[in-house]
Amino acid sequence: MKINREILTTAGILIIIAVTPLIFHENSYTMHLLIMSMIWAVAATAWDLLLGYGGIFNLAQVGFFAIGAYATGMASIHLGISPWMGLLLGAVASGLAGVLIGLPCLRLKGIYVALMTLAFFEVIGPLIVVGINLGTGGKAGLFPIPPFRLGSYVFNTDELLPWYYLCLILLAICLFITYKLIHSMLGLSFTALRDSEPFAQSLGINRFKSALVVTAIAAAMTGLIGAFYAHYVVVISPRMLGLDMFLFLLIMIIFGGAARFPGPVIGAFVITFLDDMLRPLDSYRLLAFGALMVIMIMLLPNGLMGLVAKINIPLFGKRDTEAEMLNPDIPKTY
Amino acid sequence: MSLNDLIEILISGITIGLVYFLIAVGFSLIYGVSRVLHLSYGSFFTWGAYLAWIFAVKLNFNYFWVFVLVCPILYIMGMALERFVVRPLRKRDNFDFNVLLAGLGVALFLDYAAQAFFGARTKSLPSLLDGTIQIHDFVFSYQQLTMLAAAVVIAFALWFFLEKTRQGLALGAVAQDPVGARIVGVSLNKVYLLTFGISTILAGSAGILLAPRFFISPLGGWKFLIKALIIVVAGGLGSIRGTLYSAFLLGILEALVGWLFGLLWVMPFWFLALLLILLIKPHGLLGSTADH
Amino acid sequence: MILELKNVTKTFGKFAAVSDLNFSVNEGEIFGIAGPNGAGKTTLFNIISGFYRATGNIVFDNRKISHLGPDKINILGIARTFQIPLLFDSMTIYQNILVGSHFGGQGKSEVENRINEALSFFGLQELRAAAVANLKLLDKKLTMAAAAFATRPKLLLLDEPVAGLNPVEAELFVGLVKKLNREHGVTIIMIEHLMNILTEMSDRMMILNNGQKLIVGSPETVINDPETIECYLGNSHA
Repeated sequence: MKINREILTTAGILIIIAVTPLIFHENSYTMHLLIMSMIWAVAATAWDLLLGYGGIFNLAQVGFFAIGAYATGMASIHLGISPWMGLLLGAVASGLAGVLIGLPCLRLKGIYVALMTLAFFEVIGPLIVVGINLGTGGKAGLFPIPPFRLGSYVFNTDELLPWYYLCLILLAICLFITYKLIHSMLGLSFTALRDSEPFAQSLGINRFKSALVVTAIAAAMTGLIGAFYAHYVVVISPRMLGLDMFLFLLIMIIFGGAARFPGPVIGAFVITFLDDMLRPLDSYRLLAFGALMVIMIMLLPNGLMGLVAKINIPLFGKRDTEAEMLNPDIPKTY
Repeated sequence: MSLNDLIEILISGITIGLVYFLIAVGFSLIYGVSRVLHLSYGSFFTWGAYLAWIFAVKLNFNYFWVFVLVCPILYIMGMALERFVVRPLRKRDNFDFNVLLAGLGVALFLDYAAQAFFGARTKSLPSLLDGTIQIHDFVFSYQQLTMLAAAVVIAFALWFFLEKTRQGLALGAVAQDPVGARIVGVSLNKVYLLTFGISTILAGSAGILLAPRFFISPLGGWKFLIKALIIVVAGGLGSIRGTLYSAFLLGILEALVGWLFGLLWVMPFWFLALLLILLIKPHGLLGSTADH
Repeated sequence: MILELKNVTKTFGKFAAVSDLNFSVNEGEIFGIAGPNGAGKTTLFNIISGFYRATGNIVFDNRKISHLGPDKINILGIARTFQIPLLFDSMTIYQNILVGSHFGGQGKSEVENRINEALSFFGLQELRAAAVANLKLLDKKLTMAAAAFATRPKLLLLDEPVAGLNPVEAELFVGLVKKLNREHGVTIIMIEHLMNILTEMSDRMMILNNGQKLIVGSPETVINDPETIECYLGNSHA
């Protein structure tokens, strides 16, 4: 792995997150916000993999988050499986759901993918409510989802540090997978399809296959962090499928920079804390976020990372070209 | 299921279908003409109802004046959206993606602006007309009948505009072939402005007509946007006749599913129906294959 | 016989771009296609390479391919170039060829060897790290052909490969195509506007007009055929 700007930025972010509790570990509210930021960072990064890199307008990502959360929630409450297995189960269940929704949708053209996945997303909420006999908890939600255990230690709400570092490990794993994926041949196939779809096809690239694989991986990552979320917040309900989260994740991606890894991670932290600071504004807060979203798209389409890439910072080495930013690990030559 | 039940389901399905047609037709028109997936459409639906609430409840105008006053406001809002958000994006790469996200941003802005101004609690509009009428065993409210009449009038007016007026024909020309239309002297920017203006009026009017039945709330437009979306995709993106057919089809399905299993099952069934239609006809009932 | 078309028809609305076409191409030959603008030559390429679905039957290497998409057809051994250079503009020459080598054709081993072979065959070794967006036309066309070659095709479709090149560049390209055919045994179907180039290169050739086959045969028979003369002179002097 060649050291480049993406790796430096990502490593920098992870180190800062790792040492932050030295200052804030006594402030449980800030710790909570940081944990939530990490959760959203994973979800936003996975979504960006589809929207930004894959050019796949999948709008059902929040649904996969809920599927991961409900998979582990239902299995650990009703079947008594360990929450650690639940994390895995959440990832697998969401990944499978991703394949199931991808099979009929991804053969369609871009705009139909957006419409179909949005419709699918809207169906999950009602399905959870009508599925009350299957143990979904219906409208009221599932409660209480058991915490993780490590030997005799039980994760609890008085001590957030264990949650914090567990979440950091999950974040690091997901960022590593994402980085590897972007710079794999699969990532190259998406660059090729975006540059010239006919030429890419004539050289043997199958859009459907590439799209299905990346959809499954993004869904699995989202399901994994959804499962963690379920154990962390103890209670889940169909309310998590509301618009707020849907739109907030999109704002995080746009703010950090779509297809500008690890932009969405930065977006997740900035927007989560900004949202908390603006809480006194009440309704005007979301109004402001709507305006921010439109303004970012109009004026800064590549987000924060797009802006940073334009500035030459000697510390980070020379400026990357567009091609290098997209596929730095794929050799330009031997 | 008795015969009377069946007739009742059918009547209710057709009524719902007409209402859904009203909601979806503006969305269909915008996509057909300008290829914009207009995700803030639902918010204009909400704003139409709120504007009507200001004039009808706060200022005590009657419905005739409400429409006369609200329509121009909606028209200007729609044109402003096209001019200041959509048009600048059209000149850049990734138009589809950016306009989709910008639409969501505008929706967020408008919905929470409504919440900030009008509060989170639902509001209601008075009925268009009070009273009921009985035909055989079936009772209709005047509200229901006026809504039906209004839907028919609006559908007819739209047909007349698109088929019989010069500007309407220009819209059709752009929908079929924007490059060709420009060559014969149609100004694309003017057509897009007009389309957004008219569609916004259609969204707002649907909001006003439905408000006496469904209440008005800041986020209420989303439910209808999603329904409009499914209807329009099932009917074939950009085909107004397809939108009409699928609105009736899904309206009757809704009445049937609601009667058999309860309203919660409606969305899952709609989604299944959509999947089925797209599996058989990948471009919807009457979708053209030309543009994809 | 490596490729055979039977009753192939493609209509757009009421317009038949290719109508009831029958012909076959022998293994190892260079097969030239000519015809006036709008004769359906590029449409024919799009049909063979799987971009358009047409009626009728297409058999390649004893396999029916008429129902397959472009990526599957490439995997089976047909590669193509496009009239206007379509390249991956955000990548280098090396990466463009890498895409062909990794995703195309059969056998995923020796990806690196295939790239090097393609680079040296088309004389692109020194430019391998160059971004393709700023290349001159000849190098773009060479890159496109090299990426297609890296998929190890049995049959290569070239759509007006020398259009827009100056005579020296055109001669270089023609030489490479002949060498590709002789040394690597790649069967070639080539669309070309310039009759002298086509007659000089082709083992056999076909004239298309209004989506129909006018004549197939050796270059001498084809250019001396009265119908060809009428079709060509009639059009180019109109």
